[in-house]
Amino acid sequence: MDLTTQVLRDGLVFGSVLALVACSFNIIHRPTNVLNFAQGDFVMVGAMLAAVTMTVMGLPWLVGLALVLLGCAATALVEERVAVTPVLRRSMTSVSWVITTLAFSIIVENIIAKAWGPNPRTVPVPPGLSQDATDIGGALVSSYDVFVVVVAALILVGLELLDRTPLGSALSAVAEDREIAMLRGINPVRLTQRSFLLSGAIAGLAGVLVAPLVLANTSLAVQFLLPGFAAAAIGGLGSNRGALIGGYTIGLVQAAAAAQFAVAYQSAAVFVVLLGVLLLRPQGIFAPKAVRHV
Amino acid sequence: MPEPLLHLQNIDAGYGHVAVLHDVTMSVAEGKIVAVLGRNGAGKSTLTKAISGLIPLSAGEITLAGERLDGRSPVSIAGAGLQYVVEGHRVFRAQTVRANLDIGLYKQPLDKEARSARRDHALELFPELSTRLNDVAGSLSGGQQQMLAIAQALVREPRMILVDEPSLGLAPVVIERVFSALVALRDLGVTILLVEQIVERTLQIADYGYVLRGGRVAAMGEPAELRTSPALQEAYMGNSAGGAAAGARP
Amino acid sequence: MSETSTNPRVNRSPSRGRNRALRLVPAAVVLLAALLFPSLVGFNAYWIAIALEVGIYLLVAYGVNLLFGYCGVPFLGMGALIAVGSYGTAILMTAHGWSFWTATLVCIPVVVLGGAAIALPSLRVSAWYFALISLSVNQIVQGLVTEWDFTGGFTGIVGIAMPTIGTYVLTLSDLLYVVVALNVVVVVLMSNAIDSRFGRALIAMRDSEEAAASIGVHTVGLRMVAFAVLSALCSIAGSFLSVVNQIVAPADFSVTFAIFFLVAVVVGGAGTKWGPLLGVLVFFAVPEFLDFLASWQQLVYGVVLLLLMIFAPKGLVGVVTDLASRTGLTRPRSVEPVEVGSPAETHDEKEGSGKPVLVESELESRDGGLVLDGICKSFGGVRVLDELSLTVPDKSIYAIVGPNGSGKTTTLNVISGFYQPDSGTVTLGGEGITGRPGYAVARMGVARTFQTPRILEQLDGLDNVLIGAYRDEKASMVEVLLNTGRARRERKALRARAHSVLRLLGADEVAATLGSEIPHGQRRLVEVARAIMSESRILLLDEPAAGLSPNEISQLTAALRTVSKLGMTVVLIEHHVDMVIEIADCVAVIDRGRVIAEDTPAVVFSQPEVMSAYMGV
Repeated sequence: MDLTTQVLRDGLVFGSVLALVACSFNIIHRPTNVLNFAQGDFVMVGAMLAAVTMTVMGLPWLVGLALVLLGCAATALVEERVAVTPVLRRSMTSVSWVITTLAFSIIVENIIAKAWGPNPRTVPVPPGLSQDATDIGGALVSSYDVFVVVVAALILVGLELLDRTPLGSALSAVAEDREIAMLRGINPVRLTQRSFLLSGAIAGLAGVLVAPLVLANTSLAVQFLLPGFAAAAIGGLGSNRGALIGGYTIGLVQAAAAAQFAVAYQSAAVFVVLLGVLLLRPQGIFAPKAVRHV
Repeated sequence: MPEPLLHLQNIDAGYGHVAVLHDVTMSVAEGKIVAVLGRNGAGKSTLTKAISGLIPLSAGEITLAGERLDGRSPVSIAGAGLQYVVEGHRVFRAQTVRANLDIGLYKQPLDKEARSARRDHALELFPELSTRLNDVAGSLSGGQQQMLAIAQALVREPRMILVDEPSLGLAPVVIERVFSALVALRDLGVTILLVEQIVERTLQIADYGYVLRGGRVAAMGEPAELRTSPALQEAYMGNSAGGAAAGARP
Repeated sequence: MSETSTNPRVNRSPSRGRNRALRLVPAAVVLLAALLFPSLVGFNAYWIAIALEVGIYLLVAYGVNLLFGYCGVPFLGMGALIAVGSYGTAILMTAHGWSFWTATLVCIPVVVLGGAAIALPSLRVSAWYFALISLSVNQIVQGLVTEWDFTGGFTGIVGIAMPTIGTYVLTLSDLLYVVVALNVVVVVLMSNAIDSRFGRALIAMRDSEEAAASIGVHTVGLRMVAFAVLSALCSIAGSFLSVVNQIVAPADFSVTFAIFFLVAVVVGGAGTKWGPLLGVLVFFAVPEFLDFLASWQQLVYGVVLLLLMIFAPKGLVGVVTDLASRTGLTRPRSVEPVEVGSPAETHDEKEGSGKPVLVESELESRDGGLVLDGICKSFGGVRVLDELSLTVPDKSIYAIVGPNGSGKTTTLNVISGFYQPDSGTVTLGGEGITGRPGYAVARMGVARTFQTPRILEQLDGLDNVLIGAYRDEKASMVEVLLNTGRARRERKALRARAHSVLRLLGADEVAATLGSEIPHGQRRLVEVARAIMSESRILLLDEPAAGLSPNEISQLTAALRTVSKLGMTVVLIEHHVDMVIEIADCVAVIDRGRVIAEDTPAVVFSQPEVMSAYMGV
């Protein structure tokens, strides 16, 4: 086993999951300008629900997946109703949502911990795939690894295509000029709800995908919050391509830090990279063109 | 006069505790250009915002073809067939011209051909935009952006459009093009409420006009009547306007 | 609410001296309770340790209140900062044999600098980045101290001795007295700072960045100061925690620990003086008495935080004061700073003669003549200002008129440094001011008002005027903190001056009114009063008469005449031509970003081309 190629494999697999999390940040951010502290919790809820439906209840993988996505989307919608829209209604520019989404994240994390305890749970891989690794160019790669990378990439392509549909264009319209969007018949509140649903589902999918690799447990929320956001911020908020590249970058940084030093240095390394990018290019690397209002 | 398409009955509106419009009553007949004149601060923008549902009324009612509009959301008023073209040629600058037009068609049950037909139809009046469908709206000139803003309101084939100061920040030649497009639209049967501060050019194309001053209707009438009305002059220059200015204290 | 506050009776409420003494009563009670606490619990070690913890946590809570409550910056890295202070002290004491006191002092600059290194890059971006990054720092520091050997790994550092003075080893009760004393010092300094221009600047910054810049506040600098204060307090708290617990372990500095402080401050009332104390006490008292809550602690944090942020952003203090003012238990605070019991008229005479509203000699020496030369400014390809040039004579009233969208507000924004011109120069009294940021231009003597008056809703009318004097106050930060004689005298004089300015403009009835309750017609006058307070050379007004009634317009006209008489140059953008004709010495007409006429109102308004530009005839 070759260390460099193994880092590459870890970086790509976990980077793919991070890219999904980064996208889920972007999807909520676009119509609301809100960055959500509970984004990591959606990932955790996804993994935990997968353990419950697939392992405990023994439902088929696809049925379990459908239930997980529904559950995560619903969680996100609850957040939109109780923690985001009431605050945004008071003022679009207030930063109270920083605190309310943090509060929501604390609540979700503790409810899940109360419900299912702190023990890590196994989650199966989809039928036909396995985690048995074969040596490819010095790295141990399983068919499931390939699956994760491919699914993440496909979802990102799908999101990019979605951007070109009327819905995507309506979302950008709301982001750019909420008032004109309303005057043209676009309902920003409904779009906000949809983006929360979609964002929750995608973060939940990230949880389902990562669970077989790391076991489902409540600390996933914290583990994915910073790196997931770092991937979005480095790539440039709002850019799907940026999310993918940001995800791979952060994935590789984490894998390299873990291999070179110790797991404790993973977050520190992500942190340093994020601060570095913020110092040099605060808008990220693939930021969509800033729109200037006269 | 036949039943007006848009009718405002004794409306009051404003922001928070500040009342801007007082007891405004006006009508817009179908197929006409009706102008609302007044200098900045007279309440013109408050009027357009109140009609389009962006700010609530504190009194009075608004009807479009007999259907009540007041108390409804901007989204629902747009659905009722009234499109508001905001001042300052606000278009979605980050998106292409085509995407801007499609936003006007959001959620309309139309197939691809019908969409494309609506786009073409809206652009008939603005041929210079047809060649720039794939360009980002932010790269258009100010005049073209104003045209795009109007076209975006038209794709949904509204019963009437409300145009707020289309001349703002545009060169005279460009204003000319925008105004002739408005006339052409009227001739195609679109009802237009045109809110402007430039007087003469507006009165040339309007069928009827109102003058706002201090949030109230100070005068109304056919363009010819308004032109000679002292109320118009006063609305712009105040009581001591015109000749009186020369005699003002230094 | 506004009815009671404009009631003249309020102005004759109890004397300031008595008021002040009254206000000290709750503080004295709390202090007494803290000092008597050890004997009250019979020197029970458990309760003393709890009291110590409360006292130490309070230090941090005050810092959080300053940064989050007053500055609106959501910092969440308290756990990490306290950990560095704790570990630093523990290591210096156990491994290097330092005394507790030197170790504590040495840790402070380390924590402050380390915190600043994290704060600077993220403060540039947005509040969310700051919150997330600071939250993550907790985890990272926790991970690192677990990993490292010199921090004792998972078990941490044990056997930390109690502090000594000479050969005397302090007991827990001694330590409690020290912590109480520290609390007193922090509370006094903090409340002096909040009552000062710095406090008002913080609130101005939180509620309107533009208003803060327009009175000359260096916003980034002030935020960093608040952040440094919180860091220092965290470090001190950490040092004390290490000796109280005699052990420092990674588990003590979790994310929950950091969030506790935020929750406590939000529960007590962010941005209020008593909020931190109330919040920390509630959070200590409740779980102590309701044991079963312990395992639900975090869930309770989350729910409480969510509910309060949505329904009661001012926390318990807010709820209590709301109730009190609704039931009429408290009157709005007395605002008469100098003399009480005498009707306003006698004031006028006394102060009108004795205390000039402006230091006129100083103003006369300062030239408020403004020259704009060839200013160009484009936005997204649209040229808004096109070689705009104009000359405003010193101490004149100069009006800028023109159709909507002609570039008037942009001109004002260029002068006040909010926009940088693409080309051209702005000169004030012969000094170039082009290219300077907003706060620097304000400091050179340029005051401005905004189209929508920037009234700070949380401050009363008088404080809203007082902030104008931000750059003129001479007392230094140290003098303010210690509330020295000079700082007190200056504050008194400034309050008196703010009063006379309001009276001069005929708006003294709003002095005691909370900003959010000041009626629209008076807001503009408050802004003008703020500008007079600033002793600026020139005052820029953006459509000051917009939305005013004829009566209010004549009040404003009189106010502007007063400003001009005091020796300030006045530049106003205005659509009310009558008003312009009445007060302006000179008028410039702008059309499409150019000046098309510049002369006396009589001449300008009789030119046909002006009429046509204006009416588009």
